Formats: sequence, C-alpha cells, structure tokens
Amino acid sequence: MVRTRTYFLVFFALLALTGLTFGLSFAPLGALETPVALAIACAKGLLVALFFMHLIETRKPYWLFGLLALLLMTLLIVLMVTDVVKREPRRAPAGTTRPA
Amino acid sequence: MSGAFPFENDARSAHAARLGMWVFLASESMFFAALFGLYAALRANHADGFREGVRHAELAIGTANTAILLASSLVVVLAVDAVRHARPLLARKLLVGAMALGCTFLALKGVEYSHHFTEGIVPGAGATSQGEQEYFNLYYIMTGLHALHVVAGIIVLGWLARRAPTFTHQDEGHVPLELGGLYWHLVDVVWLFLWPLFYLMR
Repeated sequence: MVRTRTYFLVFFALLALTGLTFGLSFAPLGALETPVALAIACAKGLLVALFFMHLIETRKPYWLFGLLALLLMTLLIVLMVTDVVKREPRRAPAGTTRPA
Repeated sequence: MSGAFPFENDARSAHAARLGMWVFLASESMFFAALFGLYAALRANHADGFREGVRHAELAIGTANTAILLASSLVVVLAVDAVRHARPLLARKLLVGAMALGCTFLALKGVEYSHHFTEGIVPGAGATSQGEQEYFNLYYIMTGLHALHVVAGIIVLGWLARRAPTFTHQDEGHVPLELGGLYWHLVDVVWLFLWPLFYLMR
C-alpha cells in the first residue's frame, strides 16, 4: 500500500518535470524540441498512471489496456503522418483549365 | 445469492469494475489519439504556421492550468487515501476541493477563449495563414473536447462527494471513488500532452 507521503512526492516530481519542460521550451534544441517535450510528458503520464491511478499497488494486469491503447495510438499517428508528408501538392490534370 | 451477484464475491466484482474502467479509459484515449494524429499530420505540412500559432498562445494561462490540474489529481488521490484511512468526511472535503480546481481550470480556459475571440481568432477564421488557422481550429476542437471531459469529471466528483459517507476503508468498499478518480486522472494526462503541443513548441 502506498503511503500518503508518496503521493505528495509524486506531485512535486510532476511539478518539477513541468518546470523542466517549460524551461527547455526556451532552449535552442532544434529538431530535438518535439521528442524532448513529448518524452517528459510521457514521464509525467507514467507517474500519474503508476501512482495516482494505483497501477503500482496491484499485480492485476490493468496496465495491459493502457499499453494496448498506446500501441494503437502510435500506429495510428505514425501511419497518418508518414502518409500525409509524402503526398504531392494537388495539381489540376493535364488539359483542364482553371475556371475564371 | 450474494450481494456481489453475478460475481462470486466483492473482490471479483471490484476487479471486473476496475477492468471495465481501464477498457473505457483506453477507448477515451483513442478518441483523443485521433485528434493528436490530426495535429501531427497537419503540423508536418504547416510547421511554420503552427509555430506562429503556438507563439500566439497564452503561455501563462496554459501553464497555470497545467499546475491546477496536477494539483487536482493530487487532491483526488488524497481523497481515495482518506477513505482508505477511514476518513470519508475528509474525502468529501477533498473532492469538493478538486471540483473547485476543475472549475478554476474552466474559468481560465474561458478567459483564454475570450482573449482570442477579441482578437478575431475563431474556429475557421481570424488567423494570418492557413497553417496558423489549422493550429487554432485544432486548438478549439481539442481543448474544447478536453473541457467537456473536465465538465463531466466535475459532475462525477460532485456525485462522489455526495456519496462519500457510504465509502468504507476496505479494498472493495470504495470502488466508485477509485473509478471516478481514474477518469479524472485520465483527463489530467490528456492535458499533460495538450500543453506542450499547443503552448510550448514554438
């Protein structure tokens, strides 16, 4: 069973990570900006899931559904983005004229 | 027939309830995942417009709202903890506190929306480029959907606060409180991803 004190510790860790994300958003990270921000968000989400949502207290496989959602989500987003970035801009077919 | 029918006992009934809640949370996550995917796909082709939009976001309000929701999650888990220590009336006060934090979040969101409306930026119009407009359209849709979830969460917390005296300290004595708490934490986690995408990634 998790002690009351632990919930406060997790909260302060969440606040610290929030501050870290905030600070790093002003740093010149370039292409790393997105992965870093999302990685910290994932860390915060994990803390909320493990402690506030009680996953760490039980041996029951509730986490399995969270993992499944995460996998499906990743698949959805990766497939959507890789599709859309490879599309060419729309062009009228040869022989048509644009309306005046 | 035991009170936990159709389950053999309370422990199995509680396990089934928690399982069902996690399945529901997974489906709610997919609901938002579709919109996060849309954000990624649109931003991939309009990165400059999105960055412009992020620079227009009200960083102070967004950050304050992040801290408010994190605090509300702490308060909700402390309410569960209070019931586990056989203090249901303390739990009731904590749940009301979480509701107040949720209402504060919504009020700040309202202030934010009104600032944008005053500048003429509404869903579908007002931005200076197509990319920036897409950013703001998504901003209204995703934070609006999230706000609806916060409203539903506040109603749930209110219902739980009313029922607080009926919760007992045993593992299976406060399952509705646990489940309602799980929903609130999911709403918090969704915001933890909305915040960097709409406020930080300049």
